[in-house]
Amino acid sequence: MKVGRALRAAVASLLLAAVLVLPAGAGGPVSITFWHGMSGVLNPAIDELTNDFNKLNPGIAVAAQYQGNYGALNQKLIAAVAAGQPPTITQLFPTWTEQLIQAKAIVPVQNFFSGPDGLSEEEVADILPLLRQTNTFNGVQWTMPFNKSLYLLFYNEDLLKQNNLRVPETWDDLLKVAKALTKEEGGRTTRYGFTVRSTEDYFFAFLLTNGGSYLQAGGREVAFNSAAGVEALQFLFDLVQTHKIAYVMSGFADADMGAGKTAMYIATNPGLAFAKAAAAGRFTVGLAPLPYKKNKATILSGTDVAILAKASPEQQAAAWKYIKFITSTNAQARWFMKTYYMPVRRSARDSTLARVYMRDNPEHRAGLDSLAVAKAEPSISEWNEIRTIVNGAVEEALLGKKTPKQALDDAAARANRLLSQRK
Amino acid sequence: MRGLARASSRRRRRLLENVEAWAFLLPAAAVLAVFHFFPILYAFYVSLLKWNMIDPVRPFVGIGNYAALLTDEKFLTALSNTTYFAVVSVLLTIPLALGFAVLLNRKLSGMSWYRTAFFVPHVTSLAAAAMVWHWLYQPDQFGLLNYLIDRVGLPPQRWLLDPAQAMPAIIAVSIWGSIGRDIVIFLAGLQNISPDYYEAAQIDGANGVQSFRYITLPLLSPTTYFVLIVSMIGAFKVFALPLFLTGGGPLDRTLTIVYSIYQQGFQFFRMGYASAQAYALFAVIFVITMLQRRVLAPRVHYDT
Repeated sequence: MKVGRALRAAVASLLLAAVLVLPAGAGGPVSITFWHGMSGVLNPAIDELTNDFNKLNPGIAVAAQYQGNYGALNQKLIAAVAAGQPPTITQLFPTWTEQLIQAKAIVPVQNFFSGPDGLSEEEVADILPLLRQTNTFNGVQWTMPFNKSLYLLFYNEDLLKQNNLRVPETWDDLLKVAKALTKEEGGRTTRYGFTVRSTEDYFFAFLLTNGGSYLQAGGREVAFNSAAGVEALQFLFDLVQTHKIAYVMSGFADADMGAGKTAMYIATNPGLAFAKAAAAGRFTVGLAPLPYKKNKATILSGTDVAILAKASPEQQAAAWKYIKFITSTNAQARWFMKTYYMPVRRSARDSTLARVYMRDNPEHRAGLDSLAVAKAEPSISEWNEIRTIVNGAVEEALLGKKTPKQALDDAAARANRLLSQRK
Repeated sequence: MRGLARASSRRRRRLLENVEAWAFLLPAAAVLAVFHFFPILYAFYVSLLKWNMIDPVRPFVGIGNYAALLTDEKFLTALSNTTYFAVVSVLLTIPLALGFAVLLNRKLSGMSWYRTAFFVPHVTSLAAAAMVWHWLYQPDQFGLLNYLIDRVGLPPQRWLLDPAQAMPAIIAVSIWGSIGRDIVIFLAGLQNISPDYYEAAQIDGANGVQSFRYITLPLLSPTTYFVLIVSMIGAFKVFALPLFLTGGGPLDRTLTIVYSIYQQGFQFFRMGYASAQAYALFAVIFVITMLQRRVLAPRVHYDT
């Protein structure tokens, strides 16, 4: 009986000691999570940046966690916010930001500009103005641009050289070059000049280069069904159905170019890595600004980063430090060289590192030159659904089920109905 | 005095037995309550709201979502696509499964291998199978299916990219995947038929077709009835195949109701509307099942 009581006392005191000692976990590094959608070759690049940051900042431990493609990341992010267990930092598209602001789920990065670890006025002005604009909502900068890209024309350089063709600059050039590069053998086309993906971004690329725009002034109605838009969609239809120098597909055009099925297509800069992998050294992949009709333009794409409000003040401070690091001049120059995303800072674009790299890899000139004419999509939460509606219209027109004007007008009616529900 | 004591101890024993029973049921009941009943009731509540899952403001719209369903052309398209899929796939699968089950009911050597072969598609991961089928269905000359029909001299087809061919292509994959399960159920039903009936028929001079028509089919009717109802319910919930093979396209021809629910709820984050669609699906399946019961139940022959 005495032994039993002594034993019980010993266990009780051990438990008491444990309860008192364990919660004092402060002293270890502040650990934060960063949810992203960087797949393929981009994944080790983000890991490298994160590891560098962790080494330079022993008091902070950032865990960069891949969440799948951007669609999956969006779903997981919203679910995590709804469940009250969001990550500390997340990648996000500008169209997701509005929803998160309304739900009070994120903290403006602007709050950290004036803190002890903040950004000077020049450092803030160093960020490309277009990118600062797309990250600002109601006068407050909520998010920080991180991996931005834009749409370019991808082409098989060897094929163009072999056929003495100049890189297309206008829509007419595109038509001529695609015609010249379309090859037929035995009644069947073995190579097409151009790939048309039946997605909304293809249409938007041609809409913008024809002087069209997404929304009308005031933002309550869409403007993509203008004459410029109808002309753009008609041009795509003609490439496929009338001239038969392009084909419609929904998968990855880089694989088709690698297989010799197509000579040109449109995609964003980081796609260059995938295109090179698909080419596997058999030919050089070239990049050029989008062919234009009325004015040069391109679509700004890519994601920003935001800090979630649920994080503790220490975690938020640590998160800001990480964001400051990955958007710094040096990191952005290295990020650009590794992933082909656009540097978000002027100083990164003009740095010696970047300029030497571009001298040796001149195909990136196209992207940097296009930055001046890049246009961002509307950053409203309804835009995701509107993109799907436009996608449907593009499909209908390309498959000949509706005329381009009909398809776009129907899509515009549905999109306007959505927009009218905005408060 | 003693009678009363016995009565009260009996009551206590019954009470203890009840408590014991509930204690054993508790884990399963808890799981069902949390993961089945609560979501079902909460989903109905959400269907009366306009909500994007994270907005703290969620206005009550009553039957607004349900009213919107009736005029939403996309939802009506999904409804008609799903009905087309369900009717065609079930009406094709059941006779095929029955035919194969009859063939597999012989006592030949190696029969268990054949049965396994038919059942394997059913136990294969749907995602993995869909990936392979997606590759088989590659359009132009790069797909295996097109390569095979090219050998026969036919032109290559667009399959999943062709609005007219996409849904039949998905139906084919669905039949491939579910025929095994139906065969197994039919086999069990066939083996439940007493051989005495067949002997009696043989004595009376019936041939194979006649004994199938007058003995097998009627005595198999409970099984057939079961398979019909269960297959129809399952077919209305089709989602994974359009998700992996076509993404709802082309031109929304393979958009099914569950896919629409997923799209509205998890791509556009309109949870209220998605929940209303889910309840609409429930209503549709309920009505169809009741109709099936009305029409078929009297024709089921129970072997008593």
